[in-house]
Amino acid sequence: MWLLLQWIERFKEYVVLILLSIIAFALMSLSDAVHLSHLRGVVIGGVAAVQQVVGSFPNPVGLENENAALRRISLQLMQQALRARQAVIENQQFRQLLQLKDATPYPVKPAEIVGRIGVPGNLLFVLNVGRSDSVLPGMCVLSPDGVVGHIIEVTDHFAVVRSLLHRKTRIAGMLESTRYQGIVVWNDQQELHLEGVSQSYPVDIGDRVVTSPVSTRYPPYLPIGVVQRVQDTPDRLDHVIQLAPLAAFDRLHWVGVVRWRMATELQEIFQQYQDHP
Amino acid sequence: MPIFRTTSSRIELLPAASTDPRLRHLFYAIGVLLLVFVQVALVPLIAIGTAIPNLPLILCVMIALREGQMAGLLYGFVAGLLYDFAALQILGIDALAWMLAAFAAGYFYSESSIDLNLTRPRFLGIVLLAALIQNLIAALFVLHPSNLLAAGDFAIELGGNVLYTVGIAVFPWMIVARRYDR
Repeated sequence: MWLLLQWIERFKEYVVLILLSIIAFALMSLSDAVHLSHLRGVVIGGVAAVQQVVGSFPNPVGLENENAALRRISLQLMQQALRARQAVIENQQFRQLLQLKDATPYPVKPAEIVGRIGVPGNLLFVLNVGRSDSVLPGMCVLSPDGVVGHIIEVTDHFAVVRSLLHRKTRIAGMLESTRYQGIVVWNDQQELHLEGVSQSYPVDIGDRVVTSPVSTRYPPYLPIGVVQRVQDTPDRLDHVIQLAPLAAFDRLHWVGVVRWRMATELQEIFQQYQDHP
Repeated sequence: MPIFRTTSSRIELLPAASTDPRLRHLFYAIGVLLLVFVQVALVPLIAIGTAIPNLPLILCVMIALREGQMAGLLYGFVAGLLYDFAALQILGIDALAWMLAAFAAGYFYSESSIDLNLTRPRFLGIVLLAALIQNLIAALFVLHPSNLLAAGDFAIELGGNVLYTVGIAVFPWMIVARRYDR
């Protein structure tokens, strides 16, 4: 016994440390006791009262932190608002694309324009679809409003579109109401024209021009543009018909690739008579 | 009335308390109570980011260096328990953490080197060690294994707490050292 007391006296700090540690662990399990929570509530009330008084004094560091936090939240909210606005616009575009899919009897593959090359007269687009999406050169590209152009080059994941606003544009088109045929071209004056419609045929401003059934590249009856101006000159046999393209080229973002190509047999016939008329 | 008074080779916290241990401990008890209240009510208002200093721990370290390991661990335990109670923490965590921190500081206690411990820069080192121990032990209970991804943030907060505590400890250390030099 004496030895034990001597030992406790010698290591009393450690004994007390162990005892208090045991008490601390025991208290951890009592932390949620109801009678303690009432007492804690009273203490917290007192602390809160003091904090309320002291908190009325400005704290430069606290204010600076608060300002920084508010700026951060403001920036996050602005980014969220921008994303939401972008989502609304994209939603509208997707809805239009869905309508396009419903309106066209051909399979349409939605695609995003990921690049613009050149200016009107030489305007090309790059789409985020390619050979892996069964997209091939020659397929035509539509927007919800009208024809955009056709694909001239594909890689595995991208496709290059030659737009209507290109000097090499040659599309067999016709006036929708009268079915008079002509060729849609982008001319040197940087205008879209329907050429080859005889001056003896009546043409009205506002008439829609669509792709012709004899087109080798485009499915028939796809809208191209509307007649904006008709001019007759004595040195020509045909009207000078200026068109306003229906596709909004300045704000195109989502388009549809029409996975349609003329039947090989028909292509061969056309090819044969073009080579040996 | 001066709070600190130097005798020939010793520094005393209170004139009367220097000779009467009961008065000295009464002063410590009042100091701990007051600082715990300040720690709960006022210290959050001077937080820098998430870092807050631990004022009662500084006093507990001073007590441990002046009175020994036993006094240090007892005051550390009581101060931590009061803090747990008032700050709505889980009872016992800070009691354990502060007690062990003060206990560790008590290892530097030596009757012959009380003045040196309190007036030389080593005091700040002892406070740093104690604050580190206190924060690490508290972290053991707070940091859940499933939340280890936040361990980096927690380490920054812990470092901030320790450095802020040492920064605040500079003031009592300077006061004590200055009075001792006179």
